[in-house]
Amino acid sequence: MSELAKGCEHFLEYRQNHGLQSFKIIYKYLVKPGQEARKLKAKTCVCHVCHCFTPRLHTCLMCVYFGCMNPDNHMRVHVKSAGHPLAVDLNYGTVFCFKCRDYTYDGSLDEICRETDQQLAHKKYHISRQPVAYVAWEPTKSEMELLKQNPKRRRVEPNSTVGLRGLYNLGNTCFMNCIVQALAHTPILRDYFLSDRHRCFLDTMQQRCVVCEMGNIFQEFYSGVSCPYIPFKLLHLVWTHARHLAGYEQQDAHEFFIAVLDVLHHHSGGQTPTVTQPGHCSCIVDQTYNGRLQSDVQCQTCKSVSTTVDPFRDISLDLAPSMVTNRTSTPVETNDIQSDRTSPASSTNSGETLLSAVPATLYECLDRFTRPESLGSESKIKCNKCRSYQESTKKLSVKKLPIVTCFHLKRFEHSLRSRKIAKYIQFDLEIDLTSYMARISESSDNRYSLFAVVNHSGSLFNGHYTCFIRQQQDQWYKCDDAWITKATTEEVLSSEGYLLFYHKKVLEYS
Amino acid sequence: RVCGEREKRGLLSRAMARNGDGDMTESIMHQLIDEEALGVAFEMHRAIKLGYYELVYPDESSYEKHDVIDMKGYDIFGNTQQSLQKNVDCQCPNCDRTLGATKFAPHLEKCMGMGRNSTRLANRKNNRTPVESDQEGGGARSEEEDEWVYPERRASKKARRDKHHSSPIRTTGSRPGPGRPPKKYKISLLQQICGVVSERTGRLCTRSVNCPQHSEEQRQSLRRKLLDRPLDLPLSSHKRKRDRAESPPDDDSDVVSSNHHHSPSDSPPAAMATWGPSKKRKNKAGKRTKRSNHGNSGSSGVTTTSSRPFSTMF
Repeated sequence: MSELAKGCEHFLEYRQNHGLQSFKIIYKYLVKPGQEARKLKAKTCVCHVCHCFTPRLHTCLMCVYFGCMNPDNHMRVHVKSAGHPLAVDLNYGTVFCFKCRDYTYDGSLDEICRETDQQLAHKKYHISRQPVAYVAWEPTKSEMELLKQNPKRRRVEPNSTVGLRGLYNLGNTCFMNCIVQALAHTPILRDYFLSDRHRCFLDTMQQRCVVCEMGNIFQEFYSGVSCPYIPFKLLHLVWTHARHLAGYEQQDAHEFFIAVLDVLHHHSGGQTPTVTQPGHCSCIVDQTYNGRLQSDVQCQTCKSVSTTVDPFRDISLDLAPSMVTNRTSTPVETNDIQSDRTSPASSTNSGETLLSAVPATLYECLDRFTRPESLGSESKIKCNKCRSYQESTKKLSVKKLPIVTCFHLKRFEHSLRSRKIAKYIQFDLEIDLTSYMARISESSDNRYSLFAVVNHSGSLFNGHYTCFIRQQQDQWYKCDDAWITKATTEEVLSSEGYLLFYHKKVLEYS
Repeated sequence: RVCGEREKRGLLSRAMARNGDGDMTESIMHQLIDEEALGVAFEMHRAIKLGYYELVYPDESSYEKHDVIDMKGYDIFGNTQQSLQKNVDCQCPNCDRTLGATKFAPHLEKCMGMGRNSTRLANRKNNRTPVESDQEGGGARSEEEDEWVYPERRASKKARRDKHHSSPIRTTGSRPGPGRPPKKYKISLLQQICGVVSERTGRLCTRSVNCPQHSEEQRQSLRRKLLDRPLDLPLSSHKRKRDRAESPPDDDSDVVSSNHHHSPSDSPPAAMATWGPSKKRKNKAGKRTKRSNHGNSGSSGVTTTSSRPFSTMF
């Protein structure tokens, strides 16, 4: 960055004769003062002529003199009298040369500034991670050449097709196309790949890395090309690495989704332990999609609870009608999960068992998912306190929510009679998952925004996948393999919904 | 920014100097805005001075236009359904063949040796990667060489071969069997075919044991090489040869020698020679068909099936 900046001859002369120690001191204590220095600055830094604190106060580089530039240019007085041509702006540390009548920039100055800023950041923030002071990006010489050679620019604007691309159907591969669309429009993944954060550890010559191919797909999507992309390479790579999936027959989009995440995880390096959590993978897949489910099993006799935590990458929600028993007798309901939503489908009278209908909304599905269920008298769990097998209830709740939550509505029943549950399930654009957390903490924000919906149309054995994806804040597009059209929010919300992708609205530092 | 003492004093003095006891808040606000604006000005100034301003902040005309088209009959790029129908090709990463994109998935399935109708040719091409879905994991990729490569080509093959015990080849269905065929298969096979390596193609001769093209010495030397011992091969008549081909070999058939452990029930249901699609063998097509009709119970002589011992030939 500093190779471009070369100071004027007057500055260079000064530097040769006097070095940069004064500048260092000025920058450290006057331009970017710490707490103590700031008080000193407040007391002493006023213009020597008008005794005011003015907007563009400068200090002479060679002696102790403060002068303002606006509106009266008292600095010039000193320059004339003392012959010192260089002055430093006290707000930003830039050096003004009175002989050239312009600010001058030099690599050595930049170096000092950067060092000091970094030290300041270290002192200020007491977190385990290394804080990095913000350094604005500047092109290097070679980058400037590149930019010159490529004068065309492309940007993502509202109502622009950049970021969108159709995908050819390679023979019943609509399931893959929908998942690729959903991944390509996941904001956090987009940011990861477009900032080139993937470092491939596989043999790049062989081109077998699925993560590299995913990065390639992002490049293709943002290339501005209008003809559809042929994702044959991705198909080949996924089939190579997830053989159980391979085969030409129609496949399940959800299965493919899980397989793709798995392969991406493995090709990211598998175990990439972080400093704070050794043994935990910090690849982009895990960071984005991994959540943790807490399962509390409570013994009915002694009421002690045993807890286990399992990871998950998506939440599969059951849609089949279920038996619901009255639970007023069990104290499990009064635990720390507040369920604000009533499930009208499963309203019960005391002592009766009711058949609840297929849930009508996503929230109802989630209520069902997290509601305590009795494990029945056939499956007794060994209670450690009672030291015997007792009847118990199991309750699921979310311990940690991932950044992207995928809800899988189990529409395909493969029981005695395989069928598809095509009932419309209502879902919202914005949801709040706070009530499903195992422990509600005051500061966490659990709001999520819908950004992709994968739909299946047709019957169990003969169907077609399409998806809706969101680009920009509120622009939705329907992706039907290679045919992309604009869609309205109403269309999206009234679609059947098979896979629902929600993205966290507020990302927190964990 | 935190407003320090100096700032307060300075502001105060200035405000007093200009406005008297006028609007202090506004004055402070203006000052803060000025300072921030100064920062932006410096950024721009630096970019211009160092020469990268136009490159990093280009003007409107250098931006490509990619507006979304929202009209009936057209997609967002302005394509029509018709314009998307045109044939697009892609190159199979497995076999490097160019084919239409819409046919890619079914082709890849066969090419990679998965699915029901693919040939073992595909399996061998991929060095016997396990294909079965109920085998251990999708990640298991065996890089083992084909075990039936003729010994001359790979010196240490034999040692490796004998070390492995094979997983049983399936007796049902047409799915390719995993693992290496056990020794008895080799024995059984070499009792049914001539087996001498053809100089022209490098393959084992799949004619009967009495094939006129090769001599007994050739056959026996081959067996010595592959099995460590010669086999008693019957000098049967033409009739017997046909019988053998049509019915499963029995324990007491003259094919079996005394020190031979083979029993018919162990023989692979489908026999060993894989014909596979081979351009070179067009002239033998007739013969191939005839033979392939012989597979009744599956354990007869030379039948085309999907098991894979002689995969090296192709």
